[in-house]
Amino acid sequence: MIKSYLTGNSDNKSTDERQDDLEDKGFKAICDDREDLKYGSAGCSHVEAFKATKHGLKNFTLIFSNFVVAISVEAKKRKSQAMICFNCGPQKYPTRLHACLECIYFGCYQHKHIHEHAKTTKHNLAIDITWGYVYCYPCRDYVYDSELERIGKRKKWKANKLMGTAFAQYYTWEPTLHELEILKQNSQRRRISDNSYIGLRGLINLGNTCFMNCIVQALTHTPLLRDYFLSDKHICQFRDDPSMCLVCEMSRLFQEFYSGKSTPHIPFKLLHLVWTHARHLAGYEQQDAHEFFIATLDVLHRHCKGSNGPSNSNPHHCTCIIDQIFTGNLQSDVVCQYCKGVSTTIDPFWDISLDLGPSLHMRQQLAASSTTQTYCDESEPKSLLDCLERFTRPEHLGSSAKIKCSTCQINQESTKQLSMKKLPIVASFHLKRFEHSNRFHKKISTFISFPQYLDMSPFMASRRGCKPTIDPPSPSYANGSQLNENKYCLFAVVNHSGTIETGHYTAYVRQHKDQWFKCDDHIITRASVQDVLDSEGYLLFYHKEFLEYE
Amino acid sequence: MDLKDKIDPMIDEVRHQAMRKLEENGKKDELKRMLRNRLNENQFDEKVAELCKNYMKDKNIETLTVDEILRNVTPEAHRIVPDSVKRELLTAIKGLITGDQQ
Ligand SMILES: [Zn+2]
Ligand SMILES: [Zn+2]
Ligand SMILES: [Zn+2]
Ligand SMILES: [Zn+2]
Ligand SMILES: [Zn+2]
Ligand SMILES: [Zn+2]
Repeated sequence: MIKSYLTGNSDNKSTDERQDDLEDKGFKAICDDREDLKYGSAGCSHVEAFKATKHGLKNFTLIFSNFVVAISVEAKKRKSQAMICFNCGPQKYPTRLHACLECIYFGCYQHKHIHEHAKTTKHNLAIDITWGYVYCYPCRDYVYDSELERIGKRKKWKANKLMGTAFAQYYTWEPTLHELEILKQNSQRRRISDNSYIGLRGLINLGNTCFMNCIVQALTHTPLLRDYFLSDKHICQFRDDPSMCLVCEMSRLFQEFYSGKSTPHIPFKLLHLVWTHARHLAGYEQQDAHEFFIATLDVLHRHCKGSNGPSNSNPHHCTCIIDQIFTGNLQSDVVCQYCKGVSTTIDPFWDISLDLGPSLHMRQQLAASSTTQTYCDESEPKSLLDCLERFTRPEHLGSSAKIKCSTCQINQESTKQLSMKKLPIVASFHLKRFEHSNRFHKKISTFISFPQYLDMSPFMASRRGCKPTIDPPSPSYANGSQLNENKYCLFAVVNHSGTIETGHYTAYVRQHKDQWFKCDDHIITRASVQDVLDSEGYLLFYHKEFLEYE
Repeated sequence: MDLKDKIDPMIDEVRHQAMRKLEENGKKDELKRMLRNRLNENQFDEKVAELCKNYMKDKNIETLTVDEILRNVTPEAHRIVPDSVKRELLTAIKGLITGDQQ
């Protein structure tokens, strides 16, 4: 069976090779200038001898694409049937199965069956079926050969492309020639230990600018944003005057934070840029941290534009780093109470603002009851989950807010329900502690508990019993891991203390997965998780626990 | 020890069938990818590389083999796989083998 495949393939060699040429082009595009890199190429004399034989490279390529990566559906089937050690027999699952590169033999490494085969037949080389590494029996070790490595990589790349984009391969970083040069010139490496303070830096208050400082602390401790900025991915759009670019300024800020310096940083340039680009925030009076956060994201998003592909045509689908990290989609289902028809709209969001205190429904009920013994069928939210529950509850819009129903063709009473269509990587919650009306401004200081780990599954559109959307079900590994997609972990909390007129902002940020620090302008102190969870909470930042690489 | 000898062949048989099934429908690649992502998130690669480097530090590179490194590093490497990752993978495999897609 295997033999027929190995030989039978040579008939359509010409089309195969043309195909390979095409793939090479794409492969080179991702491989940059790796090809020109000359490593100490050959692993050993045995590999050299093998490559020099007539069928050497061809055998390697065929075995690699059919058994190591199993490029087609048929290949997968063949592979599943071939996963047998010829010595152990079909009843035993082989551990570290290897294939001889000279003949049709499969043997396990665990019981040294592949070694025995090499010894008796003098077939020197075997390939690890799981990983594609080449083992040389005379050398008693795996060998590295750049040519074989290249063929293997190309086959893997091809297989991943065939698998579709849903699970695009995650590539490990390999330095280009240029980067190698830079690495050589800068031989000093910095390793960050678990108790390092690197990444922590106080920020000088420039006169009521704690609203900015706390947001900067939250942003600089957003894991994916940090990865983006520290890996220098920004391509600036301000060719004439890069000093006007807020993204560039953020890059410099990240450099400052991770420079290892311990003196407080003075963020005047950032403040100036935000003032320039978000005029409504200009001035030295105290501003709302939430407003500043949204304005900053907006300016960053605007300054990223164009650098990330062709999405300028569709303003609702931006792939800039800000949108990649912070944008989620909210589904709104309006149900006509007369015909029960549902109209669904989906809107992007950067954060979720949650109401505190009694709901409108509660206030109406309370007003209606004249006795001192007031009755109400719901209570004020006491936790983040309560808030989210209220946020996603169907709401009766009442007779004064009729909406035109597309089926009935007239205005009808309806209910509206919100739910999460797509969750962002970073979920930011804004607890609406500040109440502004034309008669009064007041702060709600009620304690709202929030968890360290948050599961958003109950608030998903797919779970809410709304109209199921027509999207095909997303590919999933299994039940367990699909649920994991909705799990979040707290990494920053912004707090407001004092009154609405004279208040002060501070932030808690997480470092190294489980250490917490309180950032009070230029003063940074260690804190416990409990300190964080006991705090009042104004803005809560959660990061997805598990990421699928796209 | 006796009991283990009796159970092992059976487990092996089940394991073999399960693996074959996962290999055939391509789910094994998905699982591998998921595992890779999870380990990556936990800096598993870097940690294992560190273990290897530590082991190799005072060894003769010319005679050192992958086998030897493997023998010495594997127990510790197994230990540092986070429990949550093991659990998630197990649930995923269970789901795929019993075939209940939701
Ligand atoms: Zn052989
Ligand atoms: Zn065997
Ligand atoms: Zn050799
Ligand atoms: Zn820029
Ligand atoms: Zn954007
Ligand atoms: Zn209607």
